[in-house]
Amino acid sequence: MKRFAFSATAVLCLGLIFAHAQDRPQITAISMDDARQLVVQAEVPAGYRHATLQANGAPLDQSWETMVAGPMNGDEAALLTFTLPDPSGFALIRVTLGESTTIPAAKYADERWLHVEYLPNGGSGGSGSGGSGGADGGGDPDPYENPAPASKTEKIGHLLNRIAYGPSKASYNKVEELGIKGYIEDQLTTRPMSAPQSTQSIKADDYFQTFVPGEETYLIEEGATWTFFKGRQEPPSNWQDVDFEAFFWEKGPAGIGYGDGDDATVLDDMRGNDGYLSLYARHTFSVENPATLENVRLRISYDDGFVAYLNGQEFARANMEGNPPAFDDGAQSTGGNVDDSNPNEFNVDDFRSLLREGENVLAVQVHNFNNSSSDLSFSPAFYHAPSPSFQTIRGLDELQELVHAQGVYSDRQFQVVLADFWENHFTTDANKLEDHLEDHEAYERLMTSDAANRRLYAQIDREAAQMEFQEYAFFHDHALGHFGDLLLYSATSPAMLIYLDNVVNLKDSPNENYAREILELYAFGVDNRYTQGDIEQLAKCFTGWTVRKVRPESMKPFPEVARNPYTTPSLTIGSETPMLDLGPGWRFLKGTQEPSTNAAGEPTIAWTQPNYDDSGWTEGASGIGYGDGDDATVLDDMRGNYLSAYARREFVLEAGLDDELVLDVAYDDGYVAYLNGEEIGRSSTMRNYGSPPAFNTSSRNHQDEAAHDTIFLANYRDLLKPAPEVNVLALQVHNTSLTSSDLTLAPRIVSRSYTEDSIDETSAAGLWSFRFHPEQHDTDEKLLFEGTPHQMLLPAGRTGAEGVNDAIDVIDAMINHPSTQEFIVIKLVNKLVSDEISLASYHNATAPTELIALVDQGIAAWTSTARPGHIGTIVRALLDSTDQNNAFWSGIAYRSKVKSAVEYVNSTMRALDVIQLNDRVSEVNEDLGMIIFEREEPDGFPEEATGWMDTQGLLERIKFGQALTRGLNRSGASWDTASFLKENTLTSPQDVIDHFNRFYFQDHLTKENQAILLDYVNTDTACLPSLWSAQSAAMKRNRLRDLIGLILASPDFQFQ
Amino acid sequence: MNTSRRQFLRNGALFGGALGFQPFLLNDKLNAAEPGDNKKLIFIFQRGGNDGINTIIPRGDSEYNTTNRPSLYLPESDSLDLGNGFAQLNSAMTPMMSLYNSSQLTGTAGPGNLAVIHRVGYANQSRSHFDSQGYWEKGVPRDKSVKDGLFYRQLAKTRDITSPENAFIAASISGSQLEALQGEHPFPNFREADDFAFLGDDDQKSKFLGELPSALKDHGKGVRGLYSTPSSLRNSRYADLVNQTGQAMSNTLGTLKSAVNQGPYVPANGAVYPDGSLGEKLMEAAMLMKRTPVRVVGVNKGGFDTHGNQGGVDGKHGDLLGDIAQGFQALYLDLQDQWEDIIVVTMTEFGRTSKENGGGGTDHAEASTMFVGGGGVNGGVYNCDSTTWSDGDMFSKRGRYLARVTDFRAIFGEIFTKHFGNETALLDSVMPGYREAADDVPGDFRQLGIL
Repeated sequence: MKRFAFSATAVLCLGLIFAHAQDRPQITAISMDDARQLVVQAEVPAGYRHATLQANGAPLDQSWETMVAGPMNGDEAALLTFTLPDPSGFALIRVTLGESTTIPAAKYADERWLHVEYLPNGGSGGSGSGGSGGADGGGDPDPYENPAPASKTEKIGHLLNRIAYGPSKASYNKVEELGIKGYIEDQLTTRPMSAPQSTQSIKADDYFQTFVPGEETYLIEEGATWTFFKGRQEPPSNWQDVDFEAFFWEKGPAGIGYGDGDDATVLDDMRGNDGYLSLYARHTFSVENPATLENVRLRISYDDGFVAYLNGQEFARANMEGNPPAFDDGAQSTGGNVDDSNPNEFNVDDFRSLLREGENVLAVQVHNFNNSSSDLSFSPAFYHAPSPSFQTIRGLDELQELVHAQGVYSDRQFQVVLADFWENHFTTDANKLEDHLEDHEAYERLMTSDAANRRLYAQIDREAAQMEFQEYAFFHDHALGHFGDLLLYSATSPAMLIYLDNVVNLKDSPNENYAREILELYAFGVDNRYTQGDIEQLAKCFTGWTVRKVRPESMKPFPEVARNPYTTPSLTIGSETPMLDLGPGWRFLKGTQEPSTNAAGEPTIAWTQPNYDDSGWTEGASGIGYGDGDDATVLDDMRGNYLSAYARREFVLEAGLDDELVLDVAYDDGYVAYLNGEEIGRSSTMRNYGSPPAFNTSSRNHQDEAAHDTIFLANYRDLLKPAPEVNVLALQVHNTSLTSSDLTLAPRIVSRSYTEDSIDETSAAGLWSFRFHPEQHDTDEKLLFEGTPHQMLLPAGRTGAEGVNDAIDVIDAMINHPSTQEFIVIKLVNKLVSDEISLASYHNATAPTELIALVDQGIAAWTSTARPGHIGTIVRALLDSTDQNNAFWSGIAYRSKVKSAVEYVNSTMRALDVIQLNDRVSEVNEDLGMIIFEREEPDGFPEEATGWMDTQGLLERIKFGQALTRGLNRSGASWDTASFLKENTLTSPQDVIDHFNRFYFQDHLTKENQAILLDYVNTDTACLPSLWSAQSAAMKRNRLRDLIGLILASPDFQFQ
Repeated sequence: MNTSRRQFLRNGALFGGALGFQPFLLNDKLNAAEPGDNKKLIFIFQRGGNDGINTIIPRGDSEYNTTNRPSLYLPESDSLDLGNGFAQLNSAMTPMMSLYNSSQLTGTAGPGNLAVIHRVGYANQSRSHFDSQGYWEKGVPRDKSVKDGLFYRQLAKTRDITSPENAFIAASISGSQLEALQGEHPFPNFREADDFAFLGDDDQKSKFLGELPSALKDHGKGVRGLYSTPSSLRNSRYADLVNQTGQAMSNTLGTLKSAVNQGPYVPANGAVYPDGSLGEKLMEAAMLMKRTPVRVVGVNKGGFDTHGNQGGVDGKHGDLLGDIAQGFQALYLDLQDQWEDIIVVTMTEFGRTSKENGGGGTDHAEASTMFVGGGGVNGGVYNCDSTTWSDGDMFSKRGRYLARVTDFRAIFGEIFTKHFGNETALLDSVMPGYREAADDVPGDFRQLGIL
């Protein structure tokens, strides 16, 4: 017989249909004999009296046709051989079994077409048991019965799978050195984030930038004009010196480059075979007193590499080799820094001494990776700025990379595992923070041009990432500390305050979002001894909680920031001087018609222009309005007659233009304001009503009392004319309806000063922090957990800063509440031991008894410390380092949990001992469905297997392993097959299989799967035999590389 | 699951139980196991709890006003009349009118193929997102012991889902499997059909997967082989899940490759899907409906948890509703060739408070809305009219919430019996507890007659 040949018309599929779901036929071979008859072999269990071979058409129709049928004795297992004389036209075949002695009608129904060979002793099926299981010995074994980790390898593997991100060579050796108990104790100690890292693979510079607040003074501005030379040949050797005279060089403004559409000077001849690889550029500038300069910095976007010289001496470079690089050298790799919105900062303060009085020159050579590169960019700025400075995370991608770098390399593995656990438990979504800031009035106000928007969006992204980083750093440093601290920190963390809307939790209309989730998700567990009434009461406790910006140097540390919070806003007004006060000098027009129209009769804003003739308008004093008794000019005929009124005022500005001038408008119900003929603001109630709104427009939202808007005139500096020139302020005010009971318009221009601890809310030089706003706090009495032993009465009348204690008292009491203790201990057990217990199965005692006992031990540990809820004490109890015989060390835990995406990624990187991470880790997280810091839902990523095992997730894991072993950057790390094999002295396929089997599967890999792995290296891409040993060295390495990819793709590697 | 697993261990069978060798589905399109059964369903889960009151506006309730909803109140100019003098649709959902008033395609004006249903929920409503989403998706409120999804059970009870022809009978277009389709025997989920492949060239991919021809013995090779042999993870209750997921993934690679190989997908009848991920997912769903044997497709649409800054027609909530509406319209146009066989249905875990909160948003509440579109649907407004809705019903529950009048299971009961043709007796096994609940609160289970 020869192998069955598959043709396009005879696509073969196999189906297995069975009478009893548990007793299935196994098709063991299919072939085609010399007479082009299809021969199908199947093993079947005892208990059946007939068998059929059925076929379905190509293309498939709805029916199965019985092609071959025949009898069996039913007493013994059998090997069946079906022969189908004419197999053409079928797409799918299947074997079915039946218990009836009646043979189904078939096209081929005699024993020529079905040969039955009876197998003694139940057939050969028993050979399939796995490499570790051995014989079952009859009976009905508990399907979950599995030996607890017993050998040293098993114990170490198990421990590192749970309290570390899987075994790495270093940590495996460390456990061997310290012993199990010693290693656990070692891992119960912590190291703060700010301490030097244990390994240089975690490079702070990659993740943090030193942020320099205050005014930057430019020595060379962005967009300055440079002289440059195209690198078709080597430039004169002194090209970077001050006295070099670049007569014949070209000139043009930065950025210089091509290909990405953002260059002011485009080099359209650079790309291609006739092009050139490098660019030499110079810019001279003068310095008056170099000794006084502080904090000198080079900010540069470059693509792909550069070397920079100050007065002839190199002082910065990136992605280039060679001293100096020759004109035809390529950059080391593509990329560089391509994101112009986020240029790299080089602190070159150490090179300040190169600066001299008078003329200086900055010279830069920029190189492409190769001639076919799609772009080149060069956009520098050179500046200095005064101290102080502070460090912030560069961005979300870098934050994710940092978290993974810690996960892969930190020798405080347990601390990192728990840091990630708490971060996920108290999850927040950076996207929501970004949205919040983008919608924030103070930022919106500044979004006046594309350039400003770009800068602000970049700043907002950084601020959101920094808020996430602050949380992560705290969770990291306190990962084994007190749960009560984590809970209070999270509640007062700006990221959480924004994420779950406590920043909009107001006295008169509480927002329940956070109050619900702290009970449901962060402390008690869902519906665990609380009611909807408790949520409403707790929401009231949280009224007035919000955020503000503070100067980094005056940032209050935790817990002071929570227990003794800031109560003032970011900007607190110190004094105000009226520049244009309420009073006379105004002219008014009743809105019975448009004040000005165009030829088509449509409303215009001509009436807001300085030169508009308002002599026909009524003279009077502001404010104007009716109905509330506070108006200097009363419109007593407005009600029932007209919807709007118009007002103009000429004024001469006595203040300096640099003063903090604001227009303060008290209004009811809506207004639009204009300065010298341009709109400068309107109430939200008049949004989207055209420009200008027509005279008969109704405002939205009737208000019972006047609202105040503040318009910052600093943003309209170019509209304002200094004294003695005359400015015109014009406004239109609208009611919601003709029958409205009142109307108010009272505008003032004032000059403000602010208190010392004030900071502009939009300042990039500040950090976000918790603030308690006493005026927005509900000071009524609150009663929680009524009628339970944990009932809490928060008395009425906690005014001022004391009001913050309503919620803090509740949070502080939570560590003593049994719901918190159960919920958090169960979640820790789910993380560290097994996901086969939940709040529900703990309560109704349907969870495995050893896990219930373990949770009870954890709760006992929780309450054993003077301050309950010390995490280190709790996890020490869960891990049982001394006796090593509790549930953690049992079969219920061992190799039973499916890895989460981050666990999969980190454990893979540790298994491969990757060389260095890159910022594409965030893309890996996205592909694998676990973008840390960006989960929209507040429940965090799941700890249960069912949350991770699905077809897309599995495919992405496998692709990630493929990418990593192939050395692709998209895997988020760099790795090299040859050095891995060499370092681990692996020379053959069996070596590789044995290595992974030993360290990652503790010798549990089944014989079948080992055979499949070996088969892979001994076949070619047509799946035909092609012995590994007969291949070239390169091909051998490639096959071993793919073999490792396949091992990482195996079901065993999904488990921990 | 335990039974088959125990049996498997007892037999020590090489390929016993649910771990059996899965066949390769190379053909373009496999037929459903049940001849003649072409009924299909697309569900869209609106995550976060949709504010039903600003979706289908109860204009006739005087409590719908600016006092209760200062910034969220939608004037008549921001809403569409639904013809019964009471209910109005948020005008962000204008494209829905293609279905509701379908003269554009069918030549007849009228309530068309869209059921607009208000006040849907379940007794003892949970206001937890995660619990309530689970209750909806599992079709069993207030019972966390139920592990498999509503549509999973519907399929499992009506056909042999372990049969290879049914490997692609249901799918979600999602990075992770939706609970409504989760179960012991995994159905596929994926983000994008044309990105669902291993790395490498075609030969490398098929070798890595362990495809034909040499794999036709024992368990196959490559990844497929690794997931088809008995697991070494004998102590984990997830051993079967992992192996079966690997097999489902292997099968899905083939099915999606065949679908994608038919060329770029061009929606029919000028259908335009909304920009963004919902539109991409729904277009993918339509493509699957035409090119694969799939019968049930699920997608998510997030962002409905509008505690703050919810906005009106042009705001956050309006944008979300606009996407849903344009999605319905696009499916309606694109799937005209099989519209009689299609149901498109929305789900959401709860509605939102009738009164606006301090952040210009709304908090978790009780009943919300559902939309059901499809060729067999009796279009019209349900549960939002002057005869069934008394003035002030917006606060009919605890003075804070809109109370339900229909249990969501009644809607699905109609869909399962009238669309999919289930025996009524089967409802209690597809939705365990259905009969008891229907006996307890018969009003909640009154058939609306949407089909």
